[in-house]
Amino acid sequence: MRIFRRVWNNIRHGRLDDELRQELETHLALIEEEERAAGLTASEARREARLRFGNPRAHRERTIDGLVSRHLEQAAGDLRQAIRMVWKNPGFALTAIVSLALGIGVNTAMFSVIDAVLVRPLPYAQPSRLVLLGQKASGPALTFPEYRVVRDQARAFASVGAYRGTGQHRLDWAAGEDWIETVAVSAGFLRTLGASPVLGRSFDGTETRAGGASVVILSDDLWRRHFGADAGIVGRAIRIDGTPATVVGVLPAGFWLPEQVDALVPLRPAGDLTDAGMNTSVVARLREGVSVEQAQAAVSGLTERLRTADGVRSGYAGLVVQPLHAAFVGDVRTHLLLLFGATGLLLLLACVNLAMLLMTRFAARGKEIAVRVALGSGRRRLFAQFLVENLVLAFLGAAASIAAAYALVGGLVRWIPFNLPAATPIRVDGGVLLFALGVAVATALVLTFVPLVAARRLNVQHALRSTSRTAGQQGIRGRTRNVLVVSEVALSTILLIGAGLLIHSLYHLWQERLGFDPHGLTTFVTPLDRHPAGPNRAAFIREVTGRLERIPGVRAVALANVLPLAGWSNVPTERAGHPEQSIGGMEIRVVSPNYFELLGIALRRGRRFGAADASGAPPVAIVNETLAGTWWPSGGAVGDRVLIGMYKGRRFADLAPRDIVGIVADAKDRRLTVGPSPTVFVPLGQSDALDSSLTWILKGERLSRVAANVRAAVGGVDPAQRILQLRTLDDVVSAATATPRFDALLFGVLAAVGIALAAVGLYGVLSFAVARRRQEIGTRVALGADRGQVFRMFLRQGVALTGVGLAVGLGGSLILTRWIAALLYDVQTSDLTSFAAVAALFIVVGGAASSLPARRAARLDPMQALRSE
Amino acid sequence: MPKHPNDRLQGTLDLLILKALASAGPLHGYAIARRIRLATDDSLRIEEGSLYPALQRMTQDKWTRAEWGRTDTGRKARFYTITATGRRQLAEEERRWSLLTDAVAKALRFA
Repeated sequence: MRIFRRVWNNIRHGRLDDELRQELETHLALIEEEERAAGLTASEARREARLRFGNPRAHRERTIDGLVSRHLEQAAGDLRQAIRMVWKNPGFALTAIVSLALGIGVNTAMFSVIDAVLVRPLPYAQPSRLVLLGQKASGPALTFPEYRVVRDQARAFASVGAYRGTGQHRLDWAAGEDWIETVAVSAGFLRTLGASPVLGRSFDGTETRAGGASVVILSDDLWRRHFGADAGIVGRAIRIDGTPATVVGVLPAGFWLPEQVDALVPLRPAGDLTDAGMNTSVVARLREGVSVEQAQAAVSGLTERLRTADGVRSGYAGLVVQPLHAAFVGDVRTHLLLLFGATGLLLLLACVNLAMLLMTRFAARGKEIAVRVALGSGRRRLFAQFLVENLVLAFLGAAASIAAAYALVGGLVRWIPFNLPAATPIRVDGGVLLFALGVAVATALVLTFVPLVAARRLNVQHALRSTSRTAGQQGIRGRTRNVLVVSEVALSTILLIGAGLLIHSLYHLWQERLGFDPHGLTTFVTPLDRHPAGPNRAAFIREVTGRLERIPGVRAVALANVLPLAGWSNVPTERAGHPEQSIGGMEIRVVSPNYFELLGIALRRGRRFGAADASGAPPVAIVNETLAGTWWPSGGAVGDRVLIGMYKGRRFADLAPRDIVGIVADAKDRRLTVGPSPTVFVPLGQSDALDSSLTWILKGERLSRVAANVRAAVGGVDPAQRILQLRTLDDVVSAATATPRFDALLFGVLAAVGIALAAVGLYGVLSFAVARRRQEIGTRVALGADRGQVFRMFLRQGVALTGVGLAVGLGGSLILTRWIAALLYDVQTSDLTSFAAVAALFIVVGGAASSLPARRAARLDPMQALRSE
Repeated sequence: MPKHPNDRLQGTLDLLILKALASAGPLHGYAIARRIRLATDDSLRIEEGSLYPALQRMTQDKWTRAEWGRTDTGRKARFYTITATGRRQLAEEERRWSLLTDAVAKALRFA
């Protein structure tokens, strides 16, 4: 108790103590006055008063002590009572704890994802000063020459750096070899981020020039994994793709980029088409005192200089400056917030449901509460008691939810179909637990509010007089329950509308004409690092094709550099003799002659490629309808010529003009939601400018039957050849709709839960109303009321409640669904079909849920009803 | 709430304070003590060490209301007033008290 007193004294040392001191001083002074009046001298009076009064300090402490122990006793009493109530109703407690555990657990798991991805700052120095430069039309990357213009001429930045993911490479060193992901970075990149190597140094200016020394900086992980964290690593020679390179540094642990980084290599001008690609991410640190808006205004002035730079671009629209974190997160933010919103609604639903349960229990405890109120239990005390009870439930729920969150977070991260750009591991930690605790307290407060509202309406006299079971029921009006049912209907309406819109959008996506037929096709990718361009590569392709064709069940084999919906590849291209008709980012597909046939892409004009279109033959190309319509709006494409590697008269690659021999139908290329891009096709036999990998397409047997044979066939030609992404083309297409399917499924499941809860709630409220009005119904029927009338009376009540909830929910949806507008494809957020369907569904569900109690009411035997009670 | 062994005593103190406030209007601590002393011809003296905890408790329970004011001699003092709840409590305590004293009287007569 002593400790408590001290704590209390410290807390309340201010007002309470001062007031008491003043009060006691007055008392002492008044005694003194009395003694003086009785004829004592001043000093005698003071002595006498002190004698009579005793030690004021002791009085003060005793008074404060009394208050503290009273508070503690009340709290302890409430806690004991609460634990007793929870213990006495294990069924209720279990229901409450499980629904809270799920509700809070899912939200906590979700919050740990949000925390890692959206909340935690990027692991760089002063991360809020970092921005990413993008281009209005084409997204968050620039060409290499554009990067150089920004680096040399943008005054708003203290420092500018660039990086480019350069894919997988083979690392070998004295003791072994491994595949690693490298990222090419400029000399100023690490400085811009405010990071520096823990060992060695960053790249210097000479190493990032064309022809500079071959150097590499290892990641902390790679350094530990393969080099035993050897402090003498700097200066050691290793090989990347067989080329010797010197280790000049080691990155700090925790260094992070959205791309996987095993090692950094210098970013250099490539002197070929690579420089024309929009493939360079430019990161800049704002100068002190410069805001993002000011930087944006400043770089807009660079537009003209960029237009005349070496950059290759059509439809130039200017630079965009974006905070780095926002740029890294991108539209993942919208998806995560949507998910969080959905799980939040789930928790709300769980709360409403629990509140209903509490109401029922409150009704059962009506008499007990009435007795307490009659005995002078203040409303505040009653509230405190309920709060403690609910807090006990909420904290048990929170404890269970933390266990649930631990279990759920891994699954959630796996289940979410989009990439989560998190610099630190996504896990349940202190901040997240604090969140769970906060939610638990908030939940307890919400749950306490309901009985409190009910208690305000409690008619003590009435409740005491009636039997214990009905006491609460008569005391509490049905209104609170009605409010709860209406909110259940409203919440699930919002979820259902969300689900409806997302499903509608998904349907539109599925209905999108692909322009190719993915059925019955199996694909895989072979990186070409082991087979550089030349006769070796041609022989490799020929041999593997032959072996694949001999696999039983495989009817044909086609090849392409990139599959539809699985990636892209573009080069600057110009119509021969028409520099004004240039497309910087022309999609290019390098394909085998049977590619169009296998994918079911129709020929519109001219011819397909044939075996004769080989390396020695005249160079040819095929264009898609979009390109034909853009450059030859009045026809005449076939027979004309295109220059691949040329842009506005400027030559980027030394390629001969190609004759257009055909036009093929459009097909989806980059994404489902975007129309076809202008595309040029060139035959495999006539292109050495392949990407670093090749995609194989097999027609025939199911994937499971051929997978082993495919590996054997490729391995038979080159045992060290890697095979990646072995899957069906259907899977490729389905991966393109993975996120919208995930969104729709999530909302669908939540909406189903919501509807079930709302239906049960409605059923409960009406059953309750029927039970309460038994005698009235009995009287009505006895006096000749039609049973149909009774039935309709209750049905009307149920449908009215549904209607109100529906109206609230539809109104809320109109406001809330704006948030998911960005995720919808070809569907308006005020989509009438979805709204009407949801309304109809709810009226049916509401009617069905109400009709059962209404029928019970209609069948009530008047004699029995009148005799009861 | 668990019952204190001294609940009865505490009740009695409450009773006396409430009675003093009910019959004499707003009083400060000293005046309450003095009033009870005089009313009982000096036979019941309220300990200051018990008076103030009781006043705090009753104020918290809304039986009494406390306000700062000035005494006749101009000193700053806290004046206590009985509330409606306090009056109900007083009636209850008085009833219990007479029940108890009656019972004890009976027991003494027949024992």
